[in-house]
Amino acid sequence: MASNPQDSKRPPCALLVPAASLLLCIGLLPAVGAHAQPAADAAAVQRGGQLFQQYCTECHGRDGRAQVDVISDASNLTLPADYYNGSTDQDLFNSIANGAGVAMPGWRQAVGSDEAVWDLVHFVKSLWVEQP
Amino acid sequence: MSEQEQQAGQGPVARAEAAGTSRRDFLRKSAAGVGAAVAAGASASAFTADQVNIADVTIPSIRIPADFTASLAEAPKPGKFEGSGMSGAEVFAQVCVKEELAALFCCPGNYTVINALAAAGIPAYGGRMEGSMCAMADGFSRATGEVVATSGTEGPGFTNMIMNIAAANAARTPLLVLASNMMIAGDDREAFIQTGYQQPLTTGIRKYGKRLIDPSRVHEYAGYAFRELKSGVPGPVHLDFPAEVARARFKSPDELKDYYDKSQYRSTSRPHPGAAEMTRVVSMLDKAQRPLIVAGQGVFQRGGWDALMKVAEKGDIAVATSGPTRGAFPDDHRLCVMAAPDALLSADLVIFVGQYCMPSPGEYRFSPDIKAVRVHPDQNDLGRNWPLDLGVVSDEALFLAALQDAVKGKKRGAWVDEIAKAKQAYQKHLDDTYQLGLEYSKKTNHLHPAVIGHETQHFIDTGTDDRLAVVSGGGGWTIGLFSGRYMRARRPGQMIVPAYQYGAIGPDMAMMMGACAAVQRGVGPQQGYEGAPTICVTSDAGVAYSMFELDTANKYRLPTITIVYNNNAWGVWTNAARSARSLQMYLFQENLRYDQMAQGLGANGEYVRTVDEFRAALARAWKLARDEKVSSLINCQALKEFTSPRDYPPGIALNAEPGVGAVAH
Repeated sequence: MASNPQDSKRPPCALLVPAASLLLCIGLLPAVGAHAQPAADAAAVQRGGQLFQQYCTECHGRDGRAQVDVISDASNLTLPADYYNGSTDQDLFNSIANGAGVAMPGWRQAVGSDEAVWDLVHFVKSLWVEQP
Repeated sequence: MSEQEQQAGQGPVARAEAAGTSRRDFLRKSAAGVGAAVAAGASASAFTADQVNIADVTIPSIRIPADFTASLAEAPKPGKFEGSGMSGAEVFAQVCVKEELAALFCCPGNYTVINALAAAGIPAYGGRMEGSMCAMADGFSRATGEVVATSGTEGPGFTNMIMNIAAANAARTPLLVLASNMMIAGDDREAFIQTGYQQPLTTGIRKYGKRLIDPSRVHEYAGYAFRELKSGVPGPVHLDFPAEVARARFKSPDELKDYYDKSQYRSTSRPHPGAAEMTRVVSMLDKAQRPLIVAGQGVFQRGGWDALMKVAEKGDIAVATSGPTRGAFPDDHRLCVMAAPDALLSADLVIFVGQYCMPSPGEYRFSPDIKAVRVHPDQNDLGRNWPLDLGVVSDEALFLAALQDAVKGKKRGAWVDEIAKAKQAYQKHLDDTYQLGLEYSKKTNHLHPAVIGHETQHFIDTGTDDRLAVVSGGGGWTIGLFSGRYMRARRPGQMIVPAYQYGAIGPDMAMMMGACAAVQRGVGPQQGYEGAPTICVTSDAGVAYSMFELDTANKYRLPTITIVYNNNAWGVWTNAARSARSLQMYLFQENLRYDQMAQGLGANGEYVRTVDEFRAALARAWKLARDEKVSSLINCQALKEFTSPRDYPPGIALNAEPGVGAVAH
């Protein structure tokens, strides 16, 4: 994802911890919003699509295929098997909210609410061309 | 350094320290000698008398050659038709003088032309690499809006310039690209060396280009060049001069085609906005609750900033600036949304004025429902990329002047309050990130990019004599994204965005040296700030492209301060995340000493790892730059992992556009 003026300030859990441990560290973070998943209706997908156009296209492209080579580690969102941190609904929520891979920051603060993150989850899933 | 000295680790500086003279004293004495010579009139003898006062130095210290100083002091000697006549190059140089070409940045090659330009009185700078000198010319122009020239030799020198010609094209810089040496007679024969077919190489990265083949048309094509450079939307103009043209002799104007005055071969007439269109603009503004003007490079290049301010204040209209030059509207103005990204989404009307590099919807953080007006000097660009509710063909400054009279005075309290809150929220985010960066820096003993960005702007605001005097800019990936958020422009031409649109890593240091030359000469909006140092924040990747120009900066007494974020890698190393075997291609040796390299080029070098060291180094560098006109390079040792949100959150993210730190549009 891209274009983040409000990079969410994250707890410095990774400070001075070897990379292998960092993943564990992030993995052990409480799953924000884990019990607040709203329905994946058309309105949610539409709202998610608007957020996607505002925050995500510079890395993932307008079609989610991440064909912009400037940031080539961005995942092709149409292929859930390629996601760094898994593709369950909760995986997606955590990736969007807290960051994923080496270079994607968390977006919870920028998009404003857990509900907005869930909207993005539903929109991203609407891009899938195959099931994981 | 001699072999014995190398083995003993005893270079001149080390021995100076051993003799009770600190490294700082060593540099200061050396710099003071040069600075005094410049102050005394830059006499050749003064420079040759510059000796370091250390008893046992056996290796000559770095110094500016007497010949260099004497050459700079020479009076102009333009060509004339009388006597042996004028060369084609001198005819061209004469046009350049009349057109007030602001400067020439070059490496030797294209000798006849560059010599004629220098002799005619054009301020001329010679450097170490054609690409960097091209970037310097671009930087000078970005800081002033003026036409600036660059030159290199026919083949290798010219091709060295390509990246930076392309960067200038993306920025719409009025850059005059000159190159040649060889003869038309050698075309297709691989005669001698260096023959190259230049014009096809700049197709797509220039506004106009021509290989001159008829000597009698040299004046005519000079007219072509300046007509293109000074009309409509600017861009690079590329002329190549084979020897048959450059060295032709003319004893009378009658021998030259179209030997007209500039008032006859080009016009200064500009398009005014139509009355009906202005009525519609005013009506749309009146209906809008949260209007926003995006002031592009055209507003800067046409000097429309005073009218822009009046329009904004009269109607409580928000303003964002865009383009390779920042400051046409001050970042700290209550109506400026450059550091208020949350407000962008609320805008219900945008008026793009002089936005040459046009984004598409989605690339600016605007509502999909926003209404759009675009004001542009060329009709054929209206409607490109962004669907318009109204297109207006007009010169930018004339449009703003007309709008200043026509727009209704209006208070938009809710909009102003929303902007203020968005600024406050963004500033809190920046402050939080800085505090986090301080923690990271303290715990790792390496400087985090947020700390470098914050501290640099803080130093400009509080540690300099006049914060408005300092022109800043920079590049790099991680440091560029971070520092862009913290750096501020408060007057026209106060910031340069070297990476604007083309995204080149590398020209930033040279561009800032070009900007420094513009400040040194007080050209255009830099008038009144003559001699002020410039500050460049860049990366270890970027510095490698331009660093040898520290020799050039010092030679011309350009007081530059370059802050190098040294993270031992290309900042884009995270792109190797999916391929472990690829990572090695992204990495440098660790802990390279760019500060020592700078010292070897005659500049002051500083090495820092902590915020306190950085602050002290900035203060020393500033004093040297201000008082002695000596450049500095501050090597800030960092970690590549600061780039990664996984390792050191928040890590990098692209900045919202339009806004501070924007580079794309």
